[in-house]
Amino acid sequence: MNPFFLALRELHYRWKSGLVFVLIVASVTGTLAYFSVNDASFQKEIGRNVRDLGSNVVILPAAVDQYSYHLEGGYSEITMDADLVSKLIEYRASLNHLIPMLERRAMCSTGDRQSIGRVVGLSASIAMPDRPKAPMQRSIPAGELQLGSELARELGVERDAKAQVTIAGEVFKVQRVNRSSGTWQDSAAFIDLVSAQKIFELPERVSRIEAIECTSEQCEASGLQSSVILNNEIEKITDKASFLRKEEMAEARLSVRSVSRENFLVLQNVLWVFLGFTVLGLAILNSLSRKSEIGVLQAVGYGRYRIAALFLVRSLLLAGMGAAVGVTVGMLVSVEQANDLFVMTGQKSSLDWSAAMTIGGVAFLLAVLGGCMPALWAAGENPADLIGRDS
Amino acid sequence: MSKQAPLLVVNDLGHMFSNRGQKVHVFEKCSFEIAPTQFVAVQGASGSGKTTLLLACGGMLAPSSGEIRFQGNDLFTLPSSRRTKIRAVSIGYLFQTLELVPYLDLTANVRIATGVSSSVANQWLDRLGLGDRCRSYPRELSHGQRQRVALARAIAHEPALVIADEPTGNLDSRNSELVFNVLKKYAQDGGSVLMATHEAQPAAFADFVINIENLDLLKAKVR
Ligand SMILES: Nc1ncnc2c1ncn2[C@@H]1O[C@H](COP(=O)(O)OP(=O)(O)OP(=O)(O)O)[C@@H](O)[C@H]1O
Ligand SMILES: [Mg+2]
Repeated sequence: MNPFFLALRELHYRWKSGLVFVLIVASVTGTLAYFSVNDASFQKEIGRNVRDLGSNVVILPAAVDQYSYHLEGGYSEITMDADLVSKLIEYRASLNHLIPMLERRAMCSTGDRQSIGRVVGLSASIAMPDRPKAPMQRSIPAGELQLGSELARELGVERDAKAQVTIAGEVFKVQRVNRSSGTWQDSAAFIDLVSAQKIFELPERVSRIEAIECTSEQCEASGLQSSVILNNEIEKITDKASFLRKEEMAEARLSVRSVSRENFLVLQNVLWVFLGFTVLGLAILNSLSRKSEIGVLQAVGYGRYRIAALFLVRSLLLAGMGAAVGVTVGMLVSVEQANDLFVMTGQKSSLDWSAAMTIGGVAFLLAVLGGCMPALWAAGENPADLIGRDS
Repeated sequence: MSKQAPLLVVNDLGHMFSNRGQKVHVFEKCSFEIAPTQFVAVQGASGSGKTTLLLACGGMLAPSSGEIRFQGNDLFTLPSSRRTKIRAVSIGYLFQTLELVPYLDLTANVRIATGVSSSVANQWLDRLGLGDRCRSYPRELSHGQRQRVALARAIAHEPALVIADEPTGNLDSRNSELVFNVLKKYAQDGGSVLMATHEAQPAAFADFVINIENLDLLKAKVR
């Protein structure tokens, strides 16, 4: 009788233990699949959330005294060459979303009211080539202006009302009044960088460059601290600038990223090991509890490989079913959850098919090993040493 | 002795189990021959080594000393794949513990013997009084019924040697007789039979009787 037929009969007879096998393989592969297929979206979502915390690195002209800079509420009139931005990009500094800014305190006036505001010219955030590009800061069209909420109140500009603000003789159309942010930005007016350079007569100059640090990989590789890495890089590029790191925000960013990644890696490895042990363990248990049967099959003339084939067919069928069910359910749940989880990126589901296939494949391979080895080993014994030895 | 070349030659056979440093000598210096068509009974008290001897003769248990030649081959110097082949084709074994496969019906249980078709399997079951139970599973049978299924499996592929370990242990006299007659007939038709038994008068049906506790054989003793 052929091993396939015998395996089917055995499964039919011991369907409960077969079902347990399928369920365990399915739940482990399912959990793995759930986390793996959406790993990319998950990382993107975390990246986006962390990015939205804002810039955490500020590059200032070397001449700026940081004590007075902070005393003034993060303000200085000293400027530096704007081409530092292109140098940073050329050098591929460990930064992303660079926003060059030129800032002056200047009189802002509407028809009847006027007030001093922090006038900030800035460009759209500049992405480092090969790094995530979704802009963090959009550009402000020339001739338009965004008003901080407090400055708008001083100037009597209503939200949604059409208004014009004059700065240094130039007229700007109010694009919008920003919502209160609870920072100096509430007393600021934002215009585009080139206009600011023109009205303040500082062509090609910037007060600072804000950015987000991207040092986590180098920190891991070199064991150096993020600030050391950035310092080394900037020293190599220019001696006319220094940088200031918003320590807490930067650290929070780094740790959120690494925790999310490491957590997932640990979970994934634990699940892999668990899957290996369960598949192997269940297959071994099954063969051990069928020693007598192996003995009888040997007694009636079944060779080693035919007996191993019997156990192999069983594990393949069960692990195949378990892996298929698990991967399918894991992926479906993952897709379903994607809509709720990935709010910021709106990633629907960038399913990682290769991860799903790897999981299914490894479960399958483990089942082959677990199914064959004990049976091959048992079938090498004399029948008398197997009969009555079920454990 | 028969003039034909012997089917099974047992020479100076001895076996000793050792478990946890304790050695159990089951028997020593056991020698006999079985020729085709012979019906041989092995007799002895419980624990005297009947099962051990039969397992060795069936190529299921490697004896500690002596040799077993089957159809001219020394069974335990052959590679295990050759031994498996001999068991498949030329030996039929009825275990004292029966060892039916729980997930196969009776027909399939008999069919796991090499090259046995369903109709042959059912014929044997029928001859042994189980013709109406072919689709039953072993767990649905009494011990005596299972014993007859095990015999059918040992005999259906028409091996040169049928080894039966107490095939009538739990049977009433009518069924015992049925089993003896089947085995007797099998021997007459050209097969050989080696059977362990507790029957008081094995000489009544056997060509010769090996008393495992007598002859040159030593009783099981613990050293
Ligand atoms: N695996 C084993 N390990 C150690 N001792 C064993 C083993 N199998 C059998 N024995 C011992 O070998 C001796 C012979 O056992 P065996 O089963 O051959 O007896 P038997 O004559 O068939 O008895 P019974 O009539 O009760 O079936 C016994 O003393 C038994 O305890
Ligand atoms: Mg016995």
